[in-house]
Amino acid sequence: MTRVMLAAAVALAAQAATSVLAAQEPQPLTSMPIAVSAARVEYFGDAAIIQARGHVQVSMGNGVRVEGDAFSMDLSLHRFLVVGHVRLTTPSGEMDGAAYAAFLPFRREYFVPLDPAADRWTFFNGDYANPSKGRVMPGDAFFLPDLSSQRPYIVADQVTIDPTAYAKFSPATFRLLDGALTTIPLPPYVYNFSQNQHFGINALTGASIDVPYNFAGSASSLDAVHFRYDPQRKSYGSFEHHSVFGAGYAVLSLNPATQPFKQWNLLAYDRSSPASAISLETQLFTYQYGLIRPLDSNGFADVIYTQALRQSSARLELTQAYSSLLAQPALGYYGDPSHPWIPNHPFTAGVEWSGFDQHIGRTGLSYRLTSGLGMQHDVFGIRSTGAKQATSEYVSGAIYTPTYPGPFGTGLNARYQIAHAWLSFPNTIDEQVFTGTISRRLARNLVFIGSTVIDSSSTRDPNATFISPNASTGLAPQPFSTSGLPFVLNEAPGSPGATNRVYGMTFALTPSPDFQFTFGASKSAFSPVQTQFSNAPPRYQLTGDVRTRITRTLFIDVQRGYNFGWSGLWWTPYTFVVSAQ
Amino acid sequence: MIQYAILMLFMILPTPIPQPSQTAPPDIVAPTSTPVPLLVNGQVIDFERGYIVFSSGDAFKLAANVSLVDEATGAAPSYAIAPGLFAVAYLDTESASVTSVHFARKPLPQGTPAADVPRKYVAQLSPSQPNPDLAPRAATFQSKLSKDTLVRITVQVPPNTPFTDDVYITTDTSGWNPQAIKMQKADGLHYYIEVRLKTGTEFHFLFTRGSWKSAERDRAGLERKPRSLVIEGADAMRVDPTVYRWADLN
Repeated sequence: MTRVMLAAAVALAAQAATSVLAAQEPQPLTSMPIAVSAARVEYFGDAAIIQARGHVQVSMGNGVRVEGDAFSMDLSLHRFLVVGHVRLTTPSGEMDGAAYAAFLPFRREYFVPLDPAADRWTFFNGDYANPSKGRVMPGDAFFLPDLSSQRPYIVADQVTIDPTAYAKFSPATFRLLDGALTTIPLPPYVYNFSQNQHFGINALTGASIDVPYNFAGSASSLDAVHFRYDPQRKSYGSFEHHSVFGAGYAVLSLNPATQPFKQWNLLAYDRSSPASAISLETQLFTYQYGLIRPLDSNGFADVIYTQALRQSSARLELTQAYSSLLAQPALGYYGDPSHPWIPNHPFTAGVEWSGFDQHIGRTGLSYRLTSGLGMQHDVFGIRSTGAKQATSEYVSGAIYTPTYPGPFGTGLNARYQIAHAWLSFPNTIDEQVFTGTISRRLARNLVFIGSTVIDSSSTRDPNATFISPNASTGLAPQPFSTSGLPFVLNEAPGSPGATNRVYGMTFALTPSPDFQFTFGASKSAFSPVQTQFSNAPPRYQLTGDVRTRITRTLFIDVQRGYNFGWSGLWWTPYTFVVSAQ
Repeated sequence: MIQYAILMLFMILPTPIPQPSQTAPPDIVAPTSTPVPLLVNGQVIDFERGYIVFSSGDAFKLAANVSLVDEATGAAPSYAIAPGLFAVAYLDTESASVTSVHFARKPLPQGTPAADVPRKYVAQLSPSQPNPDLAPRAATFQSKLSKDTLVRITVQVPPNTPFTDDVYITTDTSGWNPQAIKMQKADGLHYYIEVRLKTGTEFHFLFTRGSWKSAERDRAGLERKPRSLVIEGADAMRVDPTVYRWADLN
């Protein structure tokens, strides 16, 4: 009995020791808004630091208030401090002191009281009644980062900070171009820095310029208006909403919101179990002024269920599309002939099996197999075939090598993909792609890649196909094809076969992580016909791409190509992308 | 000739041995009746209630007639004593109180950091207790003093990746911008990038082909959790992940 008690006591002591040690490790942060108001609140984007000065008042979600002269929070370290004439108001009473610091992941708060005399107190897990007095503190507990050489990106009167997800500034005055341009005070702005990648999902189609303004948000949501520009639509505004939950998300957008032709998008994803997930993509197109009854409307919904299997996975995908969602007009069009009534509303279903990569013995070679079944039904007929229903089956495989060492310090690599589809019209579609590369590091920061890409495709009847928005049918080529045929065949309308051979060389120079330059030259041989008046790709092409840092966190990427006058095009338009790293 | 003879005489005679009556070197001079002030250096976070408090959390008592000086002008400061200023405090070791404080907007070179001042001069009501939290850890945390680490990330992409496509890294630090970091093609199956990151940096990332519709997935085509990278104290790091599938390609 004594031994049992002794063993139990030892076990309890060991557990207690373990818990104390465990508490020293950083804990996952919980969502707890911290409201800060001051004479001046500043956000330094490059340093990810928020500072506030002058009559600082900090209110935490647990009811604790801290007042002081200055506040600073490092968003990457999840700590904040209040210093100078500090008054700490807790459920255990008010305390006056010199400094207060909260290390949120460690559940530690450090306080330097001055009344009745200077001391050092540490609070554990929010227990303000029983501070640990005299305990040594981290040397940088109250260090106020010196940002005098930096300019703030946002200036405000108040900020609400959720250390897990966002900071909301109100009102927000932006200092752009390193302070050269200052905006007027704007409505609240939410800066989201959540580790949840679903906040990055974009439901807006491309634009040349996109400036989002997040006006509302929480740990699980984000609302933004976007000011956008593209050469076709010119300037317009859009709206986007994000909700994140568990391992899923929903994103709703309206783009553009300020022009008659509108696109409503809803994307959703949920991990229904560790081995399965379901996703939804819907798009609704309307032609309407404001939010009045639309003149014209069409759309589609696509649902995908994915299930992980042993060494493979399966996917079921259902797509329902409507070419016209409004009632049939008497004249055959809505308003004017540019908005015709189109009766088609195809339903597409696909089931796909996809194997994991498998090694072939000890050869170094690997392969991957995919197969699927598809069906499309449209009572008004599938394209020009007149058939109301079509089915398809496909198999595809890819075999690829690792990078083998070649002569003169080169690396050799190749891959070969083949796909064959049977359609019930009847018809067959074949595609083969061979890619071979030879690469060599010419200098520490200079890489050369020589490449050959041969893309070949054929079909028995170019017209007996269906355009599938449903990738699981195996008939949704990338990039998107307007005929349902593989892209290379789509470039040769009406032809039963096409081949494109591209021979290229690329030099990639990276003298520093802040600068990348890529130069490429390629020759394309397209058959059956490669003339300047066909869809065929240019025979010769040069491309250049420069990416460089313009501020501490911003990069600019500029691309341009030269087509040697192919189809009257000498230079391709510049492509600029500015992105934050 | 006489000078030469004297020089020869000095060379022949033995070197005189220092005697106790000689003046001792300055570093072992006997204490004088006038104590030498101890200079305390650091960033000031509070100046009130008879204390000056540094960012190390160390408080020092102020003498009743403490003088305040602007280091740049030598006169009394024309600005308010606000948190964040840097200072050198002249500590009278006899009374353990600060008699003079020199303020500046930038760190001052002279003096002893407040954290290194003997504890007997620091005002603290409770006896000092050890802090086990401060034991060395496996991973360090970012600070102003953290050094840069060159990180090379080389990713292997799936064999069906279109040859002309670019591959990017999206990170939580970039707001999950799907084109945050552009990678360089190394060969038909590999892309790489070198970035400089501070020791202690922790970030989460995923690979994309430029959009979230073409983001990486796990082997089964399901969304995967973001990858995590902690930069530990090293001159260089290599990370060689593999992307098995893209969301938009079978």
